[in-house]
Amino acid sequence: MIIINLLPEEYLRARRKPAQTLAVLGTVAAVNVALLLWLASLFFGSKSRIMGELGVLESDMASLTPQLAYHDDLEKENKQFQSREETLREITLGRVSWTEKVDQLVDVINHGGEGEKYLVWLNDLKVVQAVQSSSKSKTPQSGGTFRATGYSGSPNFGLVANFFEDLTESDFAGGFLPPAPPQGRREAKDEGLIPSEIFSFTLDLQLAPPEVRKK
Amino acid sequence: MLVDTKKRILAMGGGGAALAALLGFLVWAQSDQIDSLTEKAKGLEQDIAKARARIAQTPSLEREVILQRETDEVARTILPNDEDILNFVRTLRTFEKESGVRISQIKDKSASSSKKSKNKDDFEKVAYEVNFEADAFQLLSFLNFVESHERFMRVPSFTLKAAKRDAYAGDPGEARHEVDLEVESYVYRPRSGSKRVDIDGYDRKRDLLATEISARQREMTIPAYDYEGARNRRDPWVDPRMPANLEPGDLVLSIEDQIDLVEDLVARTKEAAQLLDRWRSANNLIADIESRSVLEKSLSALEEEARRIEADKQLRFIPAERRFRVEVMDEIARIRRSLAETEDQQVPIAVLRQAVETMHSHLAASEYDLALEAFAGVEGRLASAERDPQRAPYVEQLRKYQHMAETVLEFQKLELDVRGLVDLGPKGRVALINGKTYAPGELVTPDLLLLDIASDQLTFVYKEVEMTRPVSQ
Repeated sequence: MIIINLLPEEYLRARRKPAQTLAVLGTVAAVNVALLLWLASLFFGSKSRIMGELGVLESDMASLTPQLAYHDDLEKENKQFQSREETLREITLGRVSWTEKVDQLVDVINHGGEGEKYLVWLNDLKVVQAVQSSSKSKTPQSGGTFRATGYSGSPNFGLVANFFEDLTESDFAGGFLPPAPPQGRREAKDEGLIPSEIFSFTLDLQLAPPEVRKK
Repeated sequence: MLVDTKKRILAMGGGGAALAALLGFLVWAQSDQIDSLTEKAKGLEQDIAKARARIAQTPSLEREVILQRETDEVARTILPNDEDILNFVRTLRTFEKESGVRISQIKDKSASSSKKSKNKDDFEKVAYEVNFEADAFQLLSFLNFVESHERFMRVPSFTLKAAKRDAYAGDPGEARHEVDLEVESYVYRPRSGSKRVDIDGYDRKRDLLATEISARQREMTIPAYDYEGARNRRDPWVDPRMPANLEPGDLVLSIEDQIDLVEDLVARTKEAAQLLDRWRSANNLIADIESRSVLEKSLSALEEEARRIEADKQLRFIPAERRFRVEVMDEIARIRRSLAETEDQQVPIAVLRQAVETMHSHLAASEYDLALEAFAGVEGRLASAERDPQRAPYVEQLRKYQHMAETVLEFQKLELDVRGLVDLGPKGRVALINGKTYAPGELVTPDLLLLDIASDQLTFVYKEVEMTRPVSQ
């Protein structure tokens, strides 16, 4: 059976849905469906995969944590030891064996023969070791001073130069910076003593910094 | 009807858009969450990588900590502890006794350096200032005791002021210089917070590092200087000049003469040393006896001269005197020691003859002390020589000379107050001794017989030795 619409034309036009409306509705529906699918893919796909990875990583991290704590404890202990060692190094590095130095000086003075090369004796000695500086200055600092005033039993001041030469060539010079050139003064003649004419001089030495001494 | 349809369409469109917005928000939220989780995972991955990298270093860190723990034990033994600090002053007293210095003052300087000690974390500085008197070698000995002590000590500063020449004019060995010396050390007190980590299998790991531990312990140990004493060197803080004007009667030798004299003795000593080598290398008995005889003769003459030089104090120039001590006296002593090693062997007759001649020469010169010193040179070898008929007469003569020298020295110590002589004409003379008169042949004491009285001298017999002395001494 064939049914025909007998409504007047104006009614039929009014009841017919416009194509634009249908397109909009279709698009909205399509977008919604697409969004729904995207959401589902994010939730059940990417997120669950990352959550799984995260779980594995957290488990890995948890297994490493005790080892890391052990490492940290060791590091802490090591730092404390390093601090002590550094202090101890500073203390021991700054030490100079003055027995050795004075003994070597006595040797050099006694090597002047019987006055032919030089006849030297001292009046005093002042040794001051510098306090270790914490600054990291690149310019070498003095490690201290070694000062003495002495006499040369000869009117010939050249013998003092002989003494200085022997001193700088001896083991004594190790650890000292090169000495200042010799300078002295002729003392008043004493006829009551032989030799009666003598020169006084100053021995002024700078101790090399500990780092340089140990090289 | 038419209006309803439009409304329905609009409602559907609006609803669809709202749903799309909601879904869009949910997608955005999920994406954001996923991004955040991804970031978290990446961060965690990085943390794990870092953690793994750090854990990979754990074995080397463990090794370092073990090394440090073991060297820390050495630090504990090197640096003084509280008990050592309490004993510090006692230790200095021991050094004083053993070195011969004379301590006049000990001051605790730790308080003044407390500021500095605070910077040293686990180390507390202890410092003392010591003032004492010493010669150069006593100072060196004291310094050596301080610097080679089993517990770490160092001398950051010291001053020496030489003794005045007037204070030791008679004997340079008496010179005592003023010394101010600072001694410091550090007491090791590790802080309580330094908890030790429990290292699994510590002993085993430590044993595997034994070589490195020893090496590092060696690095930390401070080597001590081997100080060998004065070795006959002169004190550099003693003025070696000799006085130009000596006491009346002193034998004055110029510096050049003293140097020449020592030079000659040194040459003769070297010759004696060569004779010793020749005697040692002698390959037959005759060569042995001959070389030994030449050596003894040379040595005795050398000793005789050396004794004279010493007795007369001919060497006033200190460098010459030092050279004489080192190159002559010490060398003679060395040669004598070498000869003493053969004490059990029979002494050559030539040696005995030489000793008799030397003693005779000293007795004739009234050098009784020197005669006894010459006797002492061979005395140890006389016991076996006495049993040999060929050597016995020499031994007898040597003992006779020894008895004479000793008796004269004893006689010199007797207190004989001779006031004068009384001439009794044909009856002879009497002497007034110790307030009494004695004629020849009378005993002054049970051991002392007055034998003869001449106009200017008296002859006695004391312990079987005849000797004369002038009436007035």
